[in-house]
Amino acid sequence: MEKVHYLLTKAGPRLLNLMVDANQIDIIVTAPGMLCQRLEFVTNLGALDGCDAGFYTELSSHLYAQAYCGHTSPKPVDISVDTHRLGAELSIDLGEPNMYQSLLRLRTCSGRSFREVIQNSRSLPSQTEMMAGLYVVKAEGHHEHHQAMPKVKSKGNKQSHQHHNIKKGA
Amino acid sequence: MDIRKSAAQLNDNEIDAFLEAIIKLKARKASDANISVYDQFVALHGAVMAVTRNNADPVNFAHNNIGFLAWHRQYLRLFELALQKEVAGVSLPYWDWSDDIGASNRLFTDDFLSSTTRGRPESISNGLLRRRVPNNRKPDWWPSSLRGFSVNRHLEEGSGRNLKRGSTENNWPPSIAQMQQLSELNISIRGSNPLWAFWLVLEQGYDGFIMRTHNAGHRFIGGHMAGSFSPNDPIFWMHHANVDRIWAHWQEFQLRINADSNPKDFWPHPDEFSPFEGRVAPLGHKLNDDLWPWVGSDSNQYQSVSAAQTILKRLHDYSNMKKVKVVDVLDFEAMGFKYE
Ligand SMILES: [Cu+2]
Repeated sequence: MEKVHYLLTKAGPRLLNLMVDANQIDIIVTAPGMLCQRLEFVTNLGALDGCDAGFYTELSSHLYAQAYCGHTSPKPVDISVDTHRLGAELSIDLGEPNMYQSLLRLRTCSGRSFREVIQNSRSLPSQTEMMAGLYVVKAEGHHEHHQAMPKVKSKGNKQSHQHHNIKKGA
Repeated sequence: MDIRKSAAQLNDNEIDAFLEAIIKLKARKASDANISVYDQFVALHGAVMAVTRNNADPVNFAHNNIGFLAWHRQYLRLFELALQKEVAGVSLPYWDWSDDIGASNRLFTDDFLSSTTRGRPESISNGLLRRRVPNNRKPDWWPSSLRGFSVNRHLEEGSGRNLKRGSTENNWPPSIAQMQQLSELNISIRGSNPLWAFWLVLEQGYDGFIMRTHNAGHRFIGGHMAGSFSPNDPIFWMHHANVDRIWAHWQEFQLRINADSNPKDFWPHPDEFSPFEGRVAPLGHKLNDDLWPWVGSDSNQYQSVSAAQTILKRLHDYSNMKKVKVVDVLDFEAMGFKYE
């Protein structure tokens, strides 16, 4: 199977192709939590084409991701589907904030390629031609403000400023 | 003139002198704070992440923009001068990333800078960087006040007081050809100064081009090196000496191919917009900006907001030192060092 890796940097590409014949994608993220906040699944198809809320939920159950920041051991990250007035939204967390970079390793649970997993979704008519990718959402917080502060033990990795948090839900 | 050599090429005496200087600096109490001089340098790296001047928006004076190069050059030079106060004549060696065999045979060894490890971060278990160095392993110059090379409790960043390393980085090392390509990188985006593209690749790497540069190196070592207090691990100084060396080579390359040019030509004019952000470089990154904390009597205008008070009160007071601007560090030979 083909090997795919991407590097997210300042002024780098913001859209990563997911229609690949690989079952693992290595994404090196520069300054997670400072430059990049999360990845969001995007496609050119809408709910009437098959990419409805059920599609997003199904897809999320087929994906698995781990973040390796070097500072701590590799940790699984959240792949979540949120509902929004605009429609369903699948996003992938980037793990702990880091001032240098971390590696996000994204895998399909079945070992089939991302292309197959996406196109063989039960929600989609067979052989649908489509575009699918991950969009890099920029970090809005200023995590480095307290980067060198003593670590506060908190559940999860949602350490960005409260006032910068992205509002979720309708 | 101090000559910086490849760490993997040092002879046994040079290795010993460098280790002696590092360990003695780690033991040396700062004159103005309750911390060692070595750890005072470490603390500064955490404090520079976000600094505000007259309460304006905080800026990272040392990373994420072109000033990365200038700030670290000045930081390394002061560290090198501090080492020389401990052991006359030492200079900072550089970690030549593309000489991976040399690094594993001569640098990351029990005799020099302790081994790297793979996988989850683990405490260093050989050499002089252990938290407790066995007495029979201590050289005669070892300071009696020091049991080993432990991480200061204010600067451990959740990684503990044993220096740790470990990573699952497969994206290392860069090839000799890539390093050559980088030091001759001459991309001018829409006529902008070529420093912008060069800096981006050197600090962060760039997809499809050269990914194995500064940031990747921090994660390749992992553990403390992957955090804000990365200088806790002495490999930091050699890693950044190599960053600085590549910049030095790039500067020499630009001077060579551009007749009648001078080093100032290879830093953007203060009014030039970054091709990445469409605005001028932030405070501390422009040609005539002061580099915090080397801002002389202006130091009361600046405030770090990235570190806790326990750390800020331990920083060295540079207010009696002459100001240092970006433009002051472009000519490295004038600063007193060069690369072999
Ligand atoms: Cu740094």
